[in-house]
Amino acid sequence: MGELNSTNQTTSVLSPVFSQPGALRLELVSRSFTVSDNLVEALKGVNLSISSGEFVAIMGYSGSGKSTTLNILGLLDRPTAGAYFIGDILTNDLSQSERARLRKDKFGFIFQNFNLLDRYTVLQNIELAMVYQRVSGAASRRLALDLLSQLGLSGKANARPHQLSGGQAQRVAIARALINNPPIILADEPTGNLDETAAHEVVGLLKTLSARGTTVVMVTHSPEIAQYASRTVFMKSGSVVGIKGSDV
Amino acid sequence: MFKKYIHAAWLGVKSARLRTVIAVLGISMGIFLVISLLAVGRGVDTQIKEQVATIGSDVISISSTSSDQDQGPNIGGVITSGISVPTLTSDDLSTISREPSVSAATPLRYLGGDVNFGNRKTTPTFLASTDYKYPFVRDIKMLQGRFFTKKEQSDTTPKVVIGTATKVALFGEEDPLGKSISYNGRDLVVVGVADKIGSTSDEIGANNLDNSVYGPPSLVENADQGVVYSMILAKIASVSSISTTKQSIETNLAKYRSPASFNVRTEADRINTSQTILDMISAFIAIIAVISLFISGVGIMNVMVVAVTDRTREIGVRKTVGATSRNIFVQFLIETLMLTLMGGLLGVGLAVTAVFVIQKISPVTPEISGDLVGLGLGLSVVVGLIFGVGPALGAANKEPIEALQTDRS
Repeated sequence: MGELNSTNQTTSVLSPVFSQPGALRLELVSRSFTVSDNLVEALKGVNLSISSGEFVAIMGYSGSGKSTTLNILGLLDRPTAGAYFIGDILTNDLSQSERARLRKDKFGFIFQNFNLLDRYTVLQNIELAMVYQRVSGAASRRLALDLLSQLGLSGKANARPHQLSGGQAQRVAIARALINNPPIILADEPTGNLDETAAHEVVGLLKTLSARGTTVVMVTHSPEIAQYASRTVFMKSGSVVGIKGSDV
Repeated sequence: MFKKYIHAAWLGVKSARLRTVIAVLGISMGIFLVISLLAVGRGVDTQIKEQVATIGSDVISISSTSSDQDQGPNIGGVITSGISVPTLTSDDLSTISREPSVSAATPLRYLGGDVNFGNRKTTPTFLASTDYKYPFVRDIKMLQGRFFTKKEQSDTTPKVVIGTATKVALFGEEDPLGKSISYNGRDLVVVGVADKIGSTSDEIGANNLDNSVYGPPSLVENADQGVVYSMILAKIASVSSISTTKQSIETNLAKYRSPASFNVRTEADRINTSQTILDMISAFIAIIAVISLFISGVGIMNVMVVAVTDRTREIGVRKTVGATSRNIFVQFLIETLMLTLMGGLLGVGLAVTAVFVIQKISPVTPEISGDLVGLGLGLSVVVGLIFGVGPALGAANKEPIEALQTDRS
């Protein structure tokens, strides 16, 4: 894991080169749900602009709307009002398949509960992200093995996720997020299930990616973890209530 | 991409072994039932047609109508008039023989009883009084000797021809030609042995058509009535005229006989009768097939609905990494097809085995060939497509964020 702590490490996978920066922009975005005939407003007119290569942390209490914001940013959810741009693309009216294509090309996702599939091996979990790319099986296997090696998990390729520690599982999830070399990483509480050492290792890796030009948006409860980000957005009751750090 | 779908579907199939086994067994039973029933139906169809065809497609049979209108047993390919009273006369034979398109006509009178040679005895399946034209009309070939001649028909000691099974029963390896056998206290001289006409076995039995004796009209001469017959067989010069000839015979006989007292039939009529029965059997098989395949299909659908529910989070993860709804739909449909094809292969294998066993242990000879194997596999694909679409659509339409939030993997 030590090799990943160094922000000076240069490898093909950890040093993405983008022709188009991964800039994201929310304009007066709202998201509401109906729960038992009651309207719940998860987001209320959120404005947020994230530059390409920026490392942004989103903080707030439970129910503040930070995960909903991340889901909308990752095209896993749709706003009920407002506009969401990825670069110059207005995403509101995109079809399901266009949104799927953007998810494939633009994003890597990291989740608090890892979302690894127990029926597959570690290697197969990572390869899963390449199934929908036009990459041959042999090439995707080689890439996955390279990435596992860089993440210090060479010996775990054929292990099942339940055989891994929390830190190892999150590193596998990160490998899955990185394998397509996406310009944007979205991480929802990536350190929430990790011990302190593993948490710092994982967030250090995200910092490294950001330094290489990858846009990173991370939801976290922890002020200590948020310190790795160049900017922290504070949310409360579905609204942005404060921003700390360089405002772009 | 297709290879990746196959791989993903295979992983899905492998990861839930019990579910896979249940699904495969269900569909295999359906396919097994359909294919084995069709094989049996096809075998029965062939057997009946072969039996009916022994009389020849260029022969019209005119029978005296039975008193109770029942159809009698099938003897030597001839549907007899059962317990009918023989009423066809030599006048009827002359009327039929005069038809321009009839090249030859021969009478038949079915007899019962035993024939003896020394202390050996047999009860022929087909013991008939006929005339010298019989071998021509029925295309009978001789294995030994010859058929009796026109002149020999009036001999005091009747000359007869026996079938191969009768020969074995009475004479064994001994040469029967010129030997006397007895029937109803009368001596009959064997002048020929007819070649096999389609028996399935050399053993003497109720269905052995080669256990036969053909004698002259004098066997049944009656002082009061002269000779009367239960059937006349007319050979047609051209098969294309069989229908008009049949009508002409009916018209000419009806000029002096009651139309209700005789029945004129062609092989097509007999085949039609058999075909009607076979069509009913086929319809029954089709209904059983549809029901069993429907039940199998519902079973497969149930298994796939459970699979989709169990793998909701996987669907969410796949959509997160860029899978479109179409990708998910195709993956689950292929998985269903994989299950149904495995079931189809097993079902066809079981059906082939069952056909082999039935052929060994029963008189029915089911027929299975490449087209039935193809049908079995084709049906398994169709069942997979029909019953796999619903679960696959259900999987494809899941919203990624909702799928990710499920607690199932």
